[in-house]
Amino acid sequence: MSFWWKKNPKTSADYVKVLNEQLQKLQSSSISTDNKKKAQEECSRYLDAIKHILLDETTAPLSLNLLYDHFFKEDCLFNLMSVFSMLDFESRKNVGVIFSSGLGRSTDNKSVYVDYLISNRQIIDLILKVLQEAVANRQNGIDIYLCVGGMVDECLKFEQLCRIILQNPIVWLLFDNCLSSAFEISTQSFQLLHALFTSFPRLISVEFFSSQTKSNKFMGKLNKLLAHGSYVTKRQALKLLTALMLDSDYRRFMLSYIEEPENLKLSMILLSDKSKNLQLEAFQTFKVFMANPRKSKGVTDILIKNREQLLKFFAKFGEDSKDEIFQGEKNYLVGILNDLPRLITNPSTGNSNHSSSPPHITSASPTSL
Amino acid sequence: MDTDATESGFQPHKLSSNSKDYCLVSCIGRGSFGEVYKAIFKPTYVPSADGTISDDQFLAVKIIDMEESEDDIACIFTEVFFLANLKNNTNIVKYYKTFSIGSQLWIIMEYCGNGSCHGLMKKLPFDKFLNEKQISVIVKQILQGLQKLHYEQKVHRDIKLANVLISNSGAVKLTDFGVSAQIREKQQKLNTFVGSPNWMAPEVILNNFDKNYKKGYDEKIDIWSLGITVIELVEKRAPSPDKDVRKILQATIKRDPPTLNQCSRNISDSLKDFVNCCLQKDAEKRLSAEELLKHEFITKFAGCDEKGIVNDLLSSLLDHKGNNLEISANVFVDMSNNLTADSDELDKHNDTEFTFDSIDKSATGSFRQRANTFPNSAENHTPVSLQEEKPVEQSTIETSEQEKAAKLQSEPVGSYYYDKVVDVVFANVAKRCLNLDALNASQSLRALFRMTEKLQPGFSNVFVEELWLRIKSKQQE
Repeated sequence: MSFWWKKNPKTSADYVKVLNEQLQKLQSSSISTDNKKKAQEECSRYLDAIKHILLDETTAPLSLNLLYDHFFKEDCLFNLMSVFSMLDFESRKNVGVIFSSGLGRSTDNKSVYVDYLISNRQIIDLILKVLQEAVANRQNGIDIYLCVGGMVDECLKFEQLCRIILQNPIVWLLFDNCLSSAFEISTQSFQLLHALFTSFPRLISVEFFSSQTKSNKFMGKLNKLLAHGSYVTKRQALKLLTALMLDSDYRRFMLSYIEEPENLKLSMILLSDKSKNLQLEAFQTFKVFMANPRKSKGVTDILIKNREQLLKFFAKFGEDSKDEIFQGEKNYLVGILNDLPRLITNPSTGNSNHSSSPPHITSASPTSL
Repeated sequence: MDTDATESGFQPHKLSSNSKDYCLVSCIGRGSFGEVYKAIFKPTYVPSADGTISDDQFLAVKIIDMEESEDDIACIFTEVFFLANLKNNTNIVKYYKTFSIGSQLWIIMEYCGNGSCHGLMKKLPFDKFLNEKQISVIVKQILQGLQKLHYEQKVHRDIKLANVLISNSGAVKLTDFGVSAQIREKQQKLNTFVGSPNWMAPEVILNNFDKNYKKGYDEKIDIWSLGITVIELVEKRAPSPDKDVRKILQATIKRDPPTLNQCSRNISDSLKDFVNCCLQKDAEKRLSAEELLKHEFITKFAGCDEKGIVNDLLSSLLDHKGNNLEISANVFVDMSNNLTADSDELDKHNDTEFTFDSIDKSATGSFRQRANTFPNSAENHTPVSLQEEKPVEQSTIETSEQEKAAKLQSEPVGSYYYDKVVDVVFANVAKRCLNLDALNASQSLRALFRMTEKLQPGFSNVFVEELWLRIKSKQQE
């Protein structure tokens, strides 16, 4: 211990300097196993010391700023992320704590570190890369994913960083990660997706859902989770979908979602799930399809085809619920269903108005309801 | 660094996510949001020669039904993330893995074979109390756990003896992070009204009920709860002036802080002062976990063998007969699960009702009468987690000691059914075995029954009676 205090750097910023030296050692390919271990231990010590200074209430604000400055700006963060999987559990956690506590700090009303990350996008890209690489890491991938996931989550609190992350193709892999067999990875991915797509509605609406390609791809990815996910996945995916459907900022997305008969089918399948919670959540999306005054042909066809089953279903659905809003909505939907044109099995008995529709109705694919 | 080298551990990545690989042995408690089972991970389970299972072969499985939580299920995940983030601490229960099966979430954790400190207090004879050395080493370890939590800006929010476990090796560990919270930034305050009424700090209550008090609270609430917990350790029960939860809450904010009851025993000044340092109504004046670790009550016993002291305490209380009975019971459940590998283990478990209390170890050596089939453990009251001003009708009232004693009255002793039914049945089963493995299994089970009946005369009576009632009720269906 005394030996290490002798080597103790004088100012807090010096810590970052010596840490950086060790990190560079770790990155070199020629390092021997012994030296690597030594360097890892040194890194671990310095990171612990840095966190200590940060959490110490007696640390002067000026030296705090200096410390953060060096941490974010002297390539220290970049170096740390480059060797992230080589650090030990506590060190990785410390990196997460230092990052999260420093990111939002502002000097002269400017979020200096957020700005720095915006102009140095390679750091964000690296963080996302480390996140994604953790999925394949069997040894301690879960720990790394949770830790780096926490850092990304912190970034998503800032609109401009959210924008940068949104442009990275790794975002699409988050959907796949939701289906990971590792519970922690799946849940963390959902939290990130939820934060990414709901924190800044205008940003998402203007810069993401404005592109039909992106919007379609998003629907496809989300539908996959709704259709093939586990109970937990379905519940979380439905929650995200509902959040998007019921917020007027996402109107454009909502309109294109309820256009598509396949989406209605999915929503009806979930409505008939054996889980009450999934049913209730699916009701929130289903009602939007129903309430749409300009339903697409495909959507109307499915509804007409399933009219009787739906009426039968709603007669029992949520009977014991005392939620007046819910009951009101349900009655409203029942009204719409009753007003739908009936399916005519024998065209000769139908009036001329309806006789043209049966061929289309029968072409609608059956649902599982 | 601070890993516990003497304790065996499971390697999380070697545990599977398949519920069929886990054999639930018995329910050991109810925590916030779920039930905790003692379990065996079958793929690595190695039975010993005498058929007993050592404590380090067990895991604790917390099963939460997410279908019961109507709103955001994300709050359930808090506990998982909390635990996953707290590896390598001696005084916090080890976390291994989580997976979901349908709407159930299975959280796999370290099994602490010596139960909770609350259970420990229940085992003390009525005239026996812990000495200050014992209290000090337990409190010290709770403080070390809290220090770690608070250093990472985490707040446990439900510190009480029922949430303090004793590991197989005698280490003291914090558990149940179901209502815990993370403080994100320096100075950030929390607002949710959670915890267990008796242990709840005044600022948590004020923040919820007093409209003029909107300051929130921080990790210091754990220190208040610790103070109450120390009183529990000294007096074997928390200071509860009233059964009515609303009155408990009012007393906490209106009356002076609880103190140790001084008439009963000699209590050292350092212990009195320690409790006083925790139970300061003004959170600012309350000492931190780090400061309390330097308190005289803790330092004066420094350097003593902490696990040794806890283990001595445990073995002075351990009823070997009771212990054996429990192990035998484990094997039965284990076998039955193996035989019906296809059926849903959990459903099966819910159907299984033993007349002896597998939850409360203090019920050693006797069997409950048939009428009291439902386990009614006072061990782990679910903490109230309420929003707004809807207090607290749900809180459970502790079963009084008399009621409990009445429940534990034993059946008439005798080995009638063992002689006339169980042993004969095993002899016949042995005749029907088609291979050696089956024969070995039936014989080891027969030996266990024999041993169990010797140690716990009357076991077979209860067992056979239960079998018969079960079969009868199934036939009626």
